[in-house]
Amino acid sequence: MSEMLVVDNIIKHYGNFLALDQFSCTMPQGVIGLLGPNGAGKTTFIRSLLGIHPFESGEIRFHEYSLPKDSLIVKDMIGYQPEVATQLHKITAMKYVTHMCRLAGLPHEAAIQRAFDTLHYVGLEEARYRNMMEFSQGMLQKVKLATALVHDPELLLLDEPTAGCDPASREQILSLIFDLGKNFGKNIIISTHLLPDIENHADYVVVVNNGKTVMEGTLEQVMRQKDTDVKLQVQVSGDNNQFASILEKHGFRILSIDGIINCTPPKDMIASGNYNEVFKLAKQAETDVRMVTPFRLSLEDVFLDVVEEEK
Amino acid sequence: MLEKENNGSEFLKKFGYRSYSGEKTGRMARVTSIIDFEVRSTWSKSTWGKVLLIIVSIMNFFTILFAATVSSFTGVSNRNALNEFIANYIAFGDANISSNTNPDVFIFNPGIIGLLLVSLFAIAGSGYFADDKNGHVVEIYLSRITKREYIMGKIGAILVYINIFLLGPLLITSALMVQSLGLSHFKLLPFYFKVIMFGFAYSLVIGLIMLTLSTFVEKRQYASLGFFVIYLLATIIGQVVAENNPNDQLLLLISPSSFLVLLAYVILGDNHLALRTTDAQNAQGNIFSKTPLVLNDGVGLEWYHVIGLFLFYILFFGTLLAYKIRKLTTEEL
Repeated sequence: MSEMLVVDNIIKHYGNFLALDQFSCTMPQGVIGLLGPNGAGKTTFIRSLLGIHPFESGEIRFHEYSLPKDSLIVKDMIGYQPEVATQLHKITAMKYVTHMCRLAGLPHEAAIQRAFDTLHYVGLEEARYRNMMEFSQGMLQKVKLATALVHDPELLLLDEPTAGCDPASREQILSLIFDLGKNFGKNIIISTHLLPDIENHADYVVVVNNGKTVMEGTLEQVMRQKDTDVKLQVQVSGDNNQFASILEKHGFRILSIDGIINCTPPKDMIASGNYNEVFKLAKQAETDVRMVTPFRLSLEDVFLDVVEEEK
Repeated sequence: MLEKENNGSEFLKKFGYRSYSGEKTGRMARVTSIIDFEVRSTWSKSTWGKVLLIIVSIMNFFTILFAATVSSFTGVSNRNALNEFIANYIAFGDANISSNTNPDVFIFNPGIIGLLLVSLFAIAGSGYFADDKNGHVVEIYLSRITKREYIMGKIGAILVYINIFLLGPLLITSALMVQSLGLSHFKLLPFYFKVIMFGFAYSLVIGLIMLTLSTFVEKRQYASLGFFVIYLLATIIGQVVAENNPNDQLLLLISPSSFLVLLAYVILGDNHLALRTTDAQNAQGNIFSKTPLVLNDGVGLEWYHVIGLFLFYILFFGTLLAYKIRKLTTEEL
């Protein structure tokens, strides 16, 4: 994957608070997940990239352009959807999106046409000429997406794009976003703490905490980095705690015991996918195995694990 | 029929996302697009603003009617009647400052229009930043344009808006007065230019103060009310203070209304003014007593004091506005 965005040691303070602490990462083209808990520095990074909150030191390179030097060129190449719900008093969606399109540099006639098309694309064709004050949260999110898209940017920066949406709107918005990534070749950075939103679609993930990158890579790499791609859930008829200590002696890493033993098998067992060893150990311990279930960790588990480690 | 329906749905499927490869506009076009958007959308934002617009339009109609027939009404055929009219058009009530001409050219003081205009501009300008903050769109603006372009667009919008209602009627009434007084339009071209200069200066002062207030509050109502109350109180207090201290002419500058009237006279090049008092009949039996107020005699209030205060307002509020936009907090974006 070719590099799209290179962030090199950027620092940003808000007063005495260090929001970005030598933040660095390299994002390839495609759909990128920017993950982190609230207050991790995701939005500050996005605002620094857009030149809204200039960073104090370091460098950001977007393709051949360097920030802050080429800020105006880069602004035109980015479509931004902020986290907060945006609405203007007594303005129709059509007027609002047209205005934002003109601000991105499109001539008036082209802006009207683009606003019309884009609002249709995000599913607001019926509501185009309605006052935005009457819109639901889901509709406002779609207006924000249309605003981000309307000038046909190369990179879409979406900050919590499904915040406040009901499940149906969330599904619609996510399918629109991933349709743009897969079928229209848009580069997309999705900043979120809702990991299921991107788990199955992101090509690359950057995990941020306390203003630093704590992990980055493809989804596969991130899962492998934590060495936790396969786990076992084991339950026996006897004492689970006693059997867990037997497993531990034979190379299993015990993660938790609460009615079920959650553990990581030894690497050779993961590679072979053969868990007969568990049954042998149970026989030796004179107990019956009730359940042996291998499972794959979710991105959320890895994320929580990393954030917990940082603490 | 079926074929048509199929074509329709096929069209919808194809009507997906489309890329754009057309031309892009320059940076200034983005500033003008803010001006265009703000001026157009200001009409629809306030019901009270619409009511005021109607009242101002009616007042202006009668003012224009008066201007067209001023000569036959008053018998005045003095060039200074024009200055008198322009300066007092924007006065809040009676500023008691007139051209010191002989014979007296006091003609028509539409005072109430000044009050209505200030209210109208307060309602319009108050939302320019407050609405953006309240609707959380500042961040979207700044993701597309620079802070400087954003401020320029908003200032441009308030200047255009104010001058639609100030300069438009002023120029029309001035032209009709010139016609009515039997003066030459051509010879008075410098006068028209000065009227435009005054419109620009007035809108810059009022606009910058209004916009600055708008950056500090979340809701447009607070900014418009705050501006109106400050303007009203400062005018009343300023006029009371000035009337009680007639020997200190500089105190005239406390009242924003008097300051704007003086600014109009200075820009129009009329430095020989008079302060009117209306509280008693004088020895000559006139209702008005007039005290000369000469702005270029080196004594008391001078023209450069007025210009100095004008520049101070521009610099102070311009700097404050730029600083506030530069330092917008994350919550305000």
